[in-house]
Amino acid sequence: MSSPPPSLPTGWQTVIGLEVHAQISSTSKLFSGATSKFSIEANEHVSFIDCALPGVLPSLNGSCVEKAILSAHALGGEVSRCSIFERKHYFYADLPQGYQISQLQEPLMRGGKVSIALEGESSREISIERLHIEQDAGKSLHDMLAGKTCVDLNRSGVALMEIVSEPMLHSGEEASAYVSKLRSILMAIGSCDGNMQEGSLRVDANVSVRAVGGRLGTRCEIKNLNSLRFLRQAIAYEAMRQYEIISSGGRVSQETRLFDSEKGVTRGMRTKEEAHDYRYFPDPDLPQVTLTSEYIEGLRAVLPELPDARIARLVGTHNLAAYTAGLLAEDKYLSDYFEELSSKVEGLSSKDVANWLLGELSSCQRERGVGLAGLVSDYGLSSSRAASLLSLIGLGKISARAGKEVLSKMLEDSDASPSSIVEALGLQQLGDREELLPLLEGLLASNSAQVSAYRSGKVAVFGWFVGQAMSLTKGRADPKVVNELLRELLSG
Amino acid sequence: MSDNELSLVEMYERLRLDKSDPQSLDPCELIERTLAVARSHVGANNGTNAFITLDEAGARQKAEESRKRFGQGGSSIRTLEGIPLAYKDMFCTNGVRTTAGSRMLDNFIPPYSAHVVELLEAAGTICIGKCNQDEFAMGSYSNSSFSGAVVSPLTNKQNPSEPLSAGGSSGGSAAAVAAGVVPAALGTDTGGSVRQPAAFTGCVGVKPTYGLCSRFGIVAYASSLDQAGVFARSVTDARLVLYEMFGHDARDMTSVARIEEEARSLDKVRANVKIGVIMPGEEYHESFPHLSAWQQQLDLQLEGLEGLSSSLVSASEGTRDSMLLDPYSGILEAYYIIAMAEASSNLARYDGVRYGYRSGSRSGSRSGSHSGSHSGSQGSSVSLHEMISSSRGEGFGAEVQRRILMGTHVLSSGYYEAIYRQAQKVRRLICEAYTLLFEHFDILISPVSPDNFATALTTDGKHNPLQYFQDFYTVPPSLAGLPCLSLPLGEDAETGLPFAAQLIGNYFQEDQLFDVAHGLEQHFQRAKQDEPSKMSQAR
Repeated sequence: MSSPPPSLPTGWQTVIGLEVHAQISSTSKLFSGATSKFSIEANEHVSFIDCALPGVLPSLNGSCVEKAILSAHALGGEVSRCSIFERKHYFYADLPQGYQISQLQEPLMRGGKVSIALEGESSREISIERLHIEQDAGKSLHDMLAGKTCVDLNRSGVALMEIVSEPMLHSGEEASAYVSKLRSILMAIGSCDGNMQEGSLRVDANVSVRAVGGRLGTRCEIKNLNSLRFLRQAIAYEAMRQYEIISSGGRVSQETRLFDSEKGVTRGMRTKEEAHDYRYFPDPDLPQVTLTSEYIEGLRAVLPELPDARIARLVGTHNLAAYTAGLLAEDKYLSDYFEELSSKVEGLSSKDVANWLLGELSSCQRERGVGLAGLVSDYGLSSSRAASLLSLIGLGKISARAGKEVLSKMLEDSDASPSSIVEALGLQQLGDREELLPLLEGLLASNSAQVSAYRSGKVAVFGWFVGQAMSLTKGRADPKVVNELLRELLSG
Repeated sequence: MSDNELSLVEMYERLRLDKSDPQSLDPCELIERTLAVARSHVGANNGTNAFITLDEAGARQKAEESRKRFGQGGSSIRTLEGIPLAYKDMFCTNGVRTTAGSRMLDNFIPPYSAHVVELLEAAGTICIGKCNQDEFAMGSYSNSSFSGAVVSPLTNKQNPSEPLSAGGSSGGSAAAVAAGVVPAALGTDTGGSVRQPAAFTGCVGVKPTYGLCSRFGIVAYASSLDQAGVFARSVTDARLVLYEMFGHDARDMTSVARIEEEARSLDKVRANVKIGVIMPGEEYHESFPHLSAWQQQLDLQLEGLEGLSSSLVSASEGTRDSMLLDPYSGILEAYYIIAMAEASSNLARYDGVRYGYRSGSRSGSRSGSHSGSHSGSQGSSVSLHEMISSSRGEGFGAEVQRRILMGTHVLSSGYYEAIYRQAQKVRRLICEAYTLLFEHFDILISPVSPDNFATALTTDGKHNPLQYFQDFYTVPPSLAGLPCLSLPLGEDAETGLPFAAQLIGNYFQEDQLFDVAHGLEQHFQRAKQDEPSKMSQAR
């Protein structure tokens, strides 16, 4: 664990607005027929349009617009009936047209909100300013050949949604919670695969600091953060950097910065004076996009259940804490699995099931380097199989500790049922009073000093007896029965 | 113009004659003869310099195919089987160098063809080569090409040794048709680049309603104005080629399908077409004496038009107050603001990174490179932006750079609202002005150019701001996206140079535009045969 990032002194506040670039899940790019799939091989998915040969023209991929409208509905924003594509000009090796097709004046969506909940806090709504569609640029590779820059255009022309939040976030943790919530919403409706490693979701953070209640400070934009950890680190570093400048009497200058993830610092890239004049103007190759309200509303009707609705259900019917429900709802697969599992498990509360999923099962996934879906498909851990394991625990047939052992055997042999493993390993819980009584009597007899200590008021010794009993039975004893019997014997 | 050259219609008929007929044409022989003539028009100081590239191998191969199809007969013979054509070098042709008249694309070989090129190939036509033009279609005299200036095949009888301009920007296509190399050729028309060179060389030049020809594969100058057009030596020939080029193309979102019913909706008034003549404003007559001569010529030519069963109405009454006649209405300014803004953006892709001219590169440029990563700088001493600047500085000629700079200026922060947005407002007003006129008229007639016939060719490279004024009459219908046609209006007795009229039709009324143009063409020819002496009174 790295040391916690330093934080601003009391009375100071970080103000953060985020621009999230989410790649729209679609088979082809925004304005060309080339596939938008991620590829390791450079320049595999490049059409004549993506590399801007002379005379070729963009033609809009309607399915990308549809996904963006679904996203707009999911974020509760207002979809524009008419939206316009504009050209944003700058020269760069990985921008083949010399401009990016984007939306400035008439974005596809205005307004909208995302609610976030930090651990132990109630949820809070973050307003969204706008969502617009644009095309991605290619990638410049500066370290592939010495002294040369190589250009990979696989990403050139891929459809993005840029989602801009209001500056309402106040810490890296909040920013991170906002992005993961947004990510879960987009994933739930299938408009973005949310894969931050492959660059399907990238974040630009506008960060400034101010004295609480004071005027907004000058902001710096940190570009291209591609993990939640980097987002938190970059914001924490940047806030401190700006605070130190101000508290030593300096002025923060508006600039674009990059985060160096190895050193954990942000670095200036270009100042405001060096900023481009993008010369936006409506793209004459693309007529205005006019949408009927029937079409827009028709898409609202096919929206799947959104994470907030699921969280509400998880909290309402399963009695989970908002934070726990939020963790489950981040991943639709996980929350579906949870609901199936808890409907099948006997003897455990939904809360216990959720904790098992988020705790024990998630460390199993980390150890094996697979996701939940991988455990299900490659290790045969269907929700029914997991349910029979949890029911053994819930009904007192085995102890929670034995459960861990059974789970590990279940994953080794995907055909073995939990009860057959329990039998084979002799892990059945000792819950029979008759069986446990002689054992406990022996324990008391050989520890008379502790017995008298308990009886003279040192009740804490009770726990020691329970521990001894569990250890004598190699954890198989039912703690409930052990507790009952010990209490009877000791009070006697 | 070489009068004995065959028209497209004659070729069409003679290609279909039985081989035993002495009049019959063989497609391979036709192409060989055409190529032989074309060879004397390639390169500066060679004929008209109408061609930048000849595709001899491709043309021969297609001619063989046509010969085979004529042999098979029946449905294997395509609509325009075996007809030789030439394309302005703005049209991308798969496997054949396409330069746009620029050093920037001097070695560019596209791996695809323009949509209209595909359509014409599917109709059986044979492209023999690529025509010279102003660089990136920016100019009015075809003298800014990296391949040298185009010289008109026409001469001024009073000064036969003086080379004349073929007009621009599609001057090479106009010269190739006027010189009789090919019966028809393609040009592009943004603000008059087909109509004006047609007028200078005595050809018919037509551009359709914006959107009828897909722009896919045509090197872009100003996207909201660019349209493909056709040069030919008769209205019928031009029509035959242009109609093959229509068709919706999903690759161009501004492409529209031609709806036959809509096109024919004016059939009912066809018997009595109302032609409005847009008279040149008198304030121009002093600075442009050509205009009063033009007016006299038009009056003369339209005499006896009643026989056409059309009713001719002078639009001067109805159009007097129209902004279309007001030189101070800002039309020309609006056109150049919009065209240059779009050009500055469209030409941003020529950066020397992926294809085209790159400064400092030994080969000068790379061609047709469209995949695979390659280096983006010439070594550590040259930054990317230095490489881009010098490639563009060396790859583009002066006029192109001037227009890119002006276009960049009008889109810059602070000027967009003040300049670009105002130009768009003027454009909307122009469309409204035409809507009003077309309530009263079916066809409008105006001069093509306010200048004096074909002008002397200058190749000193000096900037002549007056050239922008060339477009005064051709630009308004371009801004409105209307179909227009430049029609020869007889010759000036003293110089022997052609007069021309611009016919403007309403949206999608190409049928009517061609019908009226054809009627007028026949009327002029009858008049010429009947009273040759009358023509000398024109000036």
